[in-house]
Amino acid sequence: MTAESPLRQTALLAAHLESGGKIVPFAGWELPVQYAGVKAETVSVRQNCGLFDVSHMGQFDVRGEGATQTLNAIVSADWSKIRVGRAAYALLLTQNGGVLDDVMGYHLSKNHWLVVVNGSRAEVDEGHLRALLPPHIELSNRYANQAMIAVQGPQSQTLLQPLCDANLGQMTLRDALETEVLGQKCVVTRGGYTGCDGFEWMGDAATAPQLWKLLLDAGAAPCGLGARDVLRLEAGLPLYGHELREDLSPDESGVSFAVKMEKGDFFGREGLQHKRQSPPPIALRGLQMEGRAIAREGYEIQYNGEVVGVVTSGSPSPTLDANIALALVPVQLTVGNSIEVLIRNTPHPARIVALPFVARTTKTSS
Amino acid sequence: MNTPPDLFYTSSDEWLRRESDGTLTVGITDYAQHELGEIVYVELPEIGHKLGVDAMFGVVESVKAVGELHCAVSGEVVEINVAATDNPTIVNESPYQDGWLIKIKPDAEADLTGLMDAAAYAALHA
Repeated sequence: MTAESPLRQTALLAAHLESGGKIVPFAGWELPVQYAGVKAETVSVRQNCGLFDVSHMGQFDVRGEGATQTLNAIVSADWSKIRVGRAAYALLLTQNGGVLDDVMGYHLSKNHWLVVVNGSRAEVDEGHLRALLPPHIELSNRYANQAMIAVQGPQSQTLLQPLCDANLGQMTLRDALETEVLGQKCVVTRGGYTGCDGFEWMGDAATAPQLWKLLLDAGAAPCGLGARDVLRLEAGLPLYGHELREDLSPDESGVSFAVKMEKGDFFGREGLQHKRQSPPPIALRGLQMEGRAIAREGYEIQYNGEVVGVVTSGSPSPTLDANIALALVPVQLTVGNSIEVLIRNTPHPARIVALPFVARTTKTSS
Repeated sequence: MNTPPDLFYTSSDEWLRRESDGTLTVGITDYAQHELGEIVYVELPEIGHKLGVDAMFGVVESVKAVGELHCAVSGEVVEINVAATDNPTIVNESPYQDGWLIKIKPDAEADLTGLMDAAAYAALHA
């Protein structure tokens, strides 16, 4: 995507403008970065309910006889164990074991998966999948008509239930159903990218504005990309292009839990195996600043006066009232170690803390 | 957007006010504070710090954005607004009064003719 390319618009752009959303270009789309303010929106999600327009995420239907086994030979996690009605996280790896993207797969029915990928990686991922899928497995990109709304926060179920056919109370984290919302077919899944309980709705673009408006009327707060980034950082969740990159292995990015070497061959397995012959020199860690200065992406990390690492994401945390960051540091530096973040040429003390920064409140059991 | 008539404005969204004792007070404009959103951190230089023309002298940060501060005139920092570093939201609430940032003693009789007046600045962000 070059800077000159026209930006795509989601079905909700008019709604964002009407609610005072500040629109920015993101991953080739026009999306709101904030409405009332990043802090207020973060608090809304943690305490009540917030809405995010995530229609820019790539959505691919993968269908055909043996779709599960075929996808399982592409992704890093073991999707052969994911029943119909469940969703799973996985990585797409490069040939040499770097991270091409992180994705969610929704097992909608026998021989049908919906694969949802980062908006910024949708074109790369589509090419990657098409190159690896055999001819009898069909991949269709929903993007011409896609919409996706994340409903996040402790009040999500209460607000969404009256609009939804499925019994949301019976769903737990990573359940995924084909159901109806506002009488229109869609996919509803329990989960999200905030560390809070919540749901994601994926459906037709034509339904999105009405659903958005009804949820706002019910008391949800419209939230932008800024709050989404803060919430995922508080939850210790990596973001592609920051913590996840082609030049980093899953071990360095802290996502090795999503790699199942023992399941059999998959794309990039050999490359990762090769990388694993020597231990990773760096690891992703959580930092909490001791003072008020804010660590930002790209700032260098010092230890004993030497530059040893770099911040990959950093922000004030409204939930903790502290400044937090994710950083790549030598693997020897671990929870409890003190380091310094170089901010405008001045070292500022920080300590390595356990992840996630904010405990997750997802609904893992009914 | 509020642009008081008695101030000088920069294209990087600071304002300067000439005080009767010959010092200059510097802050960020109403437009700048609005663009940044809720300010959560203000970093200012030490008193006595010498600034060159257009030198960066600090930052104002919101949750997601870092705004660099530049001073259009060379001089020495003679006062900083501790109230703004202690309680950054006053820069949002009162960018031209309580939320001022630094006072400098210019190296020479400050020449502000290269800066914008309120009408020109307002036109820039119209």
